[in-house]
Amino acid sequence: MLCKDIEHNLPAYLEDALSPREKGLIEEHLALCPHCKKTVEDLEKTAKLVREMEEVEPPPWFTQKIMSRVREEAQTKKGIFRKLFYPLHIKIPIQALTTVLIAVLAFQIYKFGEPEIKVMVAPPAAVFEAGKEHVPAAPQKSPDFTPAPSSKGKAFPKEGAKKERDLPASSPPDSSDTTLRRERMRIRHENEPSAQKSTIVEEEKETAPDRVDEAVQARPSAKMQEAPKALRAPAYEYKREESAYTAGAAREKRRYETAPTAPMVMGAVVGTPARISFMVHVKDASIAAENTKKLLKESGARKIQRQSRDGREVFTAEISGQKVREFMEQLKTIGETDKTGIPADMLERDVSITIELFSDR
Amino acid sequence: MENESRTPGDNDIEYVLLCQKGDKEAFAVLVERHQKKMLNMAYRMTGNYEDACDIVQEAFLSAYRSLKTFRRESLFSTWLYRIVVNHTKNRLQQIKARSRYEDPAVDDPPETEGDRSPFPMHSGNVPLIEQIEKREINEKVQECIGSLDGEYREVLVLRDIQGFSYDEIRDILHIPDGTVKSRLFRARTALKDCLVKIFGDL
Repeated sequence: MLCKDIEHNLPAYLEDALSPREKGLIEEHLALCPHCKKTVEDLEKTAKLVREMEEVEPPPWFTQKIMSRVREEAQTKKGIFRKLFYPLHIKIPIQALTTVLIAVLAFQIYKFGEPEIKVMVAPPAAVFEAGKEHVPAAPQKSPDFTPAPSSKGKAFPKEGAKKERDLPASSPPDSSDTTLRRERMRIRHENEPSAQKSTIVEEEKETAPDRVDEAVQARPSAKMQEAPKALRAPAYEYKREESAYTAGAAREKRRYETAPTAPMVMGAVVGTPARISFMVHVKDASIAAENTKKLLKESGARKIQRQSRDGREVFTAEISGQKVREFMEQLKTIGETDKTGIPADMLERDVSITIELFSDR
Repeated sequence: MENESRTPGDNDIEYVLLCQKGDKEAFAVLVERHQKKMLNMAYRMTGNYEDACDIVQEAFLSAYRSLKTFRRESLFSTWLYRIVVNHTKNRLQQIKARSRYEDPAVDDPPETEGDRSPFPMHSGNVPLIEQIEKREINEKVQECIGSLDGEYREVLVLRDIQGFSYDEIRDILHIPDGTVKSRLFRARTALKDCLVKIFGDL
């Protein structure tokens, strides 16, 4: 057996990990080979040296150092950060989804909030003034009314007065709020005769249903159009059908209420074209809009302006008074309108018309 | 079943269970118990005291993190030592990778600590000369251990310095019995050769 092979097996021999036969062979060899004998001795000495290696001591406060890191670890584990963000595979999608929802919501709020913000921006001074002027003026309206130049105002002073007497209790409490609001709108309307109708329309949209009655009760003497049907005279110039669109009805009432009521208001209106607005209920706003545009052109309308807002199409135009009735009849082919008649005085001059097309969505 | 029978003597288990229930202070007991052995294992394998301290801290931290995954398939100490061995291997690989850029002499044995060596100074009964001699010898041996291949080194450290049984080494390193032995014998021969080279005669 070669020394190399023997040497290879010496550690095992020292560990007593060999078979008796192998062990015997090695012992035989060791007795004869001083080199291998020396190797065995060196191995034993090495083992001794290694065994005698002293152990190192941990540095002072080693346990404390480790424990402080462990506590840190434990803390972050239970910390807010972890609670919020772990387990990632659940919370990240939730957070992403929430972010998207918030973004969409914010956009929607912004989009729908916009028109209302415009309404809110209405000049506060005008409101204030209107409140001051109008509230004391209210009772005097019926007397003032008769000499008013407007043809609309003449018809029902008595009914108006009667109604005012019939409903004394209801007038004062609601006059403060609703009247004020209406006043505000009226003032704006008068001050800016060319203003877009859309702002008013927006406001009416939100308040109209409740205010049909309010309007009737609060300002009975002012508006013949608003008189309840029971009080309506047979000679009533334009009978209004019970409209399917309360909003439209309320709106029209309010529009007419503006012109004839307060004398001081009249001056502002005189000289500007008469106004009339149509609410048209259509199936498809965009198709109807094209038809309306055509119709307006056929009727010789000028200054045709078109606005789209929230799926509504709003046209403003000027049209000669003679054509109004015809136009109105044509308009019925496009959709259901809220009007069946127009004031007589409009026939004499140019009329500024507003057509609002809306569809159920 | 076999595992159950193998671990009745695990006197760490009570603290391990406490830790698993959330009592992090119970972990201090385990740190106190095992830190020295772990430190010495890491120190003998790296030859660097500071590195060894870092390794032990990291090992305890990762042990704490994964304590819930400890299934009592072995002694807790075995599980813990496996962690420290793995951390040491990783650290050695990092050092090796770093020295590849910084120092072309990759085969040089790891540095041993000089003045900051943590060996306790014997006082009185051992003469100073002997103390210094002893320290020098220790350093040489450590140097030679450092020159061994990683897989030989860890077996040698575990068996000849830490005195683990073959079974324990097999569990710590996850290698078969035969491999433990063959590696160990080669490691011993290599260490002897290294020491003979340094000291001339032992």
